[in-house]
Amino acid sequence: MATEPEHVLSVRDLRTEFHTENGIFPAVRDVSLDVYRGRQVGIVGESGSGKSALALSILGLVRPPGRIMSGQVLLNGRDLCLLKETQLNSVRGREVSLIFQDPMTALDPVKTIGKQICEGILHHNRGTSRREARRRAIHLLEDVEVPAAAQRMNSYPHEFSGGMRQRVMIAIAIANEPDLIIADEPTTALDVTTQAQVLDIFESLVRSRGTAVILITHNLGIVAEFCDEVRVMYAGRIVESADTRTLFRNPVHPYTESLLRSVPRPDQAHDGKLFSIAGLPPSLARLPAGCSFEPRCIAGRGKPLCQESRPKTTSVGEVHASHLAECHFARERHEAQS
Amino acid sequence: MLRSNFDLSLSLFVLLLLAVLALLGPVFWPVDPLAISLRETLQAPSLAHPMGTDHIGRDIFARFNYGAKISLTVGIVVVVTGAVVGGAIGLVSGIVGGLLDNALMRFMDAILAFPPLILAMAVTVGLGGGLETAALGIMLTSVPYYARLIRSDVIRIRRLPFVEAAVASGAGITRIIVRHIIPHTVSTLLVQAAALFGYSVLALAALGFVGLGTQVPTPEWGVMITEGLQYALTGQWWIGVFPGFGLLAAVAATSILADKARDLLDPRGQYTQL
Amino acid sequence: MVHSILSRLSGSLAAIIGASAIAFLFLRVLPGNPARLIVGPLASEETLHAQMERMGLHEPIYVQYWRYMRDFVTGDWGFSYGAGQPVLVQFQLRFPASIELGIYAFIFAFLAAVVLALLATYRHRPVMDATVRMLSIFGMGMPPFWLALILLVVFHEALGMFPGPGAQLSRALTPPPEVTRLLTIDALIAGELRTFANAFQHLVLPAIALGMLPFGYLVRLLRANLLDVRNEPFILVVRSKGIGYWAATVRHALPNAFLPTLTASGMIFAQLLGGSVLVEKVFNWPGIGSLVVDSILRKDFAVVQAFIIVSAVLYVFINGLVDLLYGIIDPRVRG
Repeated sequence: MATEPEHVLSVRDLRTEFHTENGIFPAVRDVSLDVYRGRQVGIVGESGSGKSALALSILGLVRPPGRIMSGQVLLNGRDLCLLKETQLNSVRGREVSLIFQDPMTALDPVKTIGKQICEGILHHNRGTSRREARRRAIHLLEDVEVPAAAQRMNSYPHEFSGGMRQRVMIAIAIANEPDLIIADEPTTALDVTTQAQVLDIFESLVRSRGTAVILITHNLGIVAEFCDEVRVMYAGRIVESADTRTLFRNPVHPYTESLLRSVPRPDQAHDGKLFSIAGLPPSLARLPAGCSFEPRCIAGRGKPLCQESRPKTTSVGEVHASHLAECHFARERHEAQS
Repeated sequence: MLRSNFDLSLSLFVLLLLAVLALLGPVFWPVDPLAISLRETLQAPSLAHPMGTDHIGRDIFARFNYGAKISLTVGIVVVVTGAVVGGAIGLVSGIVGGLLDNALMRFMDAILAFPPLILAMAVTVGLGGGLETAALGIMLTSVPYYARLIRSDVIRIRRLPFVEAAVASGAGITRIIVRHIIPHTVSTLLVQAAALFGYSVLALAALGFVGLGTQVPTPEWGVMITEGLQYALTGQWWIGVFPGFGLLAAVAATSILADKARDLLDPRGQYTQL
Repeated sequence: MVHSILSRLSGSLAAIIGASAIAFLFLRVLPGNPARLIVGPLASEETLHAQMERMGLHEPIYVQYWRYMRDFVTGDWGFSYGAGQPVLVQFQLRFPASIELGIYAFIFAFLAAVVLALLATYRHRPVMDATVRMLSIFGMGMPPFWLALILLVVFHEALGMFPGPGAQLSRALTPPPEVTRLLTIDALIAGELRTFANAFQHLVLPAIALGMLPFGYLVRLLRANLLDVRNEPFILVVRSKGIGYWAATVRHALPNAFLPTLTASGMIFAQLLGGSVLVEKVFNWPGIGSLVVDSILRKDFAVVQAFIIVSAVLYVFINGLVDLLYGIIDPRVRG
């Protein structure tokens, strides 16, 4: 299947399951996702909703006992699921790369920063001399605003602060100018000011290079600031997808609405209590027969329809806006809002 | 999950089997392990002699069973006494602290700096040889392992909030030791004891092998392997091979049990191993 | 830095002095008079006393200890009356064979542990993993002298692949000129490949028998460490750069997995260099281990005493080397 040229990534009905001794856990359940060239897409959801499994599935780095069961991951039109490991190794790092959540553990503690940046450069550019790779690595460090870049090349990760390490991570990810960067909770482990700095650097780099980004986070504030579009994940499914403005203004899925309401908003008066979603996400091994959000839903809890049948993806709003939600009451809720 | 249960039941079964052979062997296989029969020397395993016979016609299966009794008994005695002595030293060291702690631990370190088998041998020879002195020698070399572990455990427990709370609320020192510290070190001690059981059994066999500890007609597994050594190269492999299987089975089974206990009690794995 | 080195050195010295003092004390309080050993059971009381006088046995124990250690440091390790030789000479004769065997046993244990730990953790293959775990448990549970016996029965007696016990080199070959006193190394230095191959063949079975226990221990440690390291995010990041599984494992996972095994490896190496009482006996290997056992049995404690001090020194020395190595490999320690 060919995709339109403007798609960097097109995930089709991707299913990833973890087959453990305690049962089968479908972490990603038939998910489809399109990312356009140069666009920033946020994926939000609670921990355990399958965000990270989706990210690793796209990279083909799901570890056993996890396995991609079915579906396609089309990157620049090529299905990564059909590629051999050696072919994948020439895609990873060059066409798509990863920024990992915890900068404390995401760098090899016994190798210098310089070596770790150069490793990717040398891997994808046969014939590049070490000196040339080093020169490029220093440039990259300057790009991510690491002071005294040339000297810091010989430092080890433990000599860097968390924010500096995350900058190094960004440098590694952009080293080969990939078309897509998957950033898995890139700033969660940092304090708020560092978070903002790192995110600013990251944003200006990807905007200037036209790199598409999938930003995985549970921080809605970051999404609002950084992303063009949002996907909301719940129990391995994308339950709502829209551009950022629409989603924040008119959340259709009850889960999205609950998520938004559980964020403190200083600009809005409230009675001092923060909204919280009742209950816990369902165990992926024993998903309910109907809508997986039904037991916690503000709109559908206890309704026979929601208990018995799984909702279909429904398009709401104007056709070209591509606002999708997976809820039995998507249309009604959308109309009630507008 | 399935596999670990299989490991567990297999090792329990093996230990049970060895215990049955050791205790009931003389009942269902009533052959004298010391009876010499010069008409039946060096016979290969057969129905009459399941493990064959040795150079003077003794039945190896009967000797194997007797060896199981010696090895298991000595293993248990050494482990229990070693755990009590080492545990007591660790407890005192950890609770009293200061100069005494320092002296005791330097002493333990010095023992650890010895090659363990050589130390056990020297003690055995020095005290006149024989099974009891061998057991004593092995026990002595195992004491530091318990002592160091229990000491660090005691120090860790002493800093736990509930113990500090008990101290703050005026509980007596004896009460704190008996009610709080000892119960929390028991599991450590048990795991370490299970891990050192194998060492004890192997060390006893090693002492028997070089001619210390158990004296010659007594069928101890290490002694039997020595006896088998000279016949191994002329084709009579069974004399030395079977007792080795006994040792391997006993040690492997207890080390699996120790592993399981460790996983259960201490998933992060901080216990030392010999 | 200077402070930490000083405190290390003093700790090492304390360990050596402690071990030697305890050994000295212990061997002196044992029943049996060392002078009696020399003059023989039939000698008169006067001869015995004269001998004791000559050996300084009348003096207080700390004076004896002090004198012993002073002599030891200057190269006078005492006289072995059982063998009729100075202890130092015996050590010089016997130690090279043990060191050579120890080195090969360590190489076997370490290489086998690395290879099998890699296999056990490669992908998700429970059968392979269980096999390696079993090998590790068996390796640690096998009496080395019994394994030696089995190896001899199978590979020497039945298959004839390796030479039997009793020699380091076939009688037909002349030993190479002594340089390091390690046969295989000396053979290589002399350029005699046939001698090297022959000496190596003689080493294979005893090295495996001796290395099996350390192998079992190391493979278990390495496997656990590799599994831990593989779960570290940085391995994922390395893979996301496009680096293949094996390259990522060899370049990143293994070095990190080695770090926590360094101390244990050092201790194992020190122990192996000190010779093996049990394996040497089975293979009739002319090493230090069999010398020490024979000396213990003969109550020839001058040898035992010296051996204990040498072991303690070896142990402390190798541990120091390990600390140094940590500094080189692990940047976090260096800082």
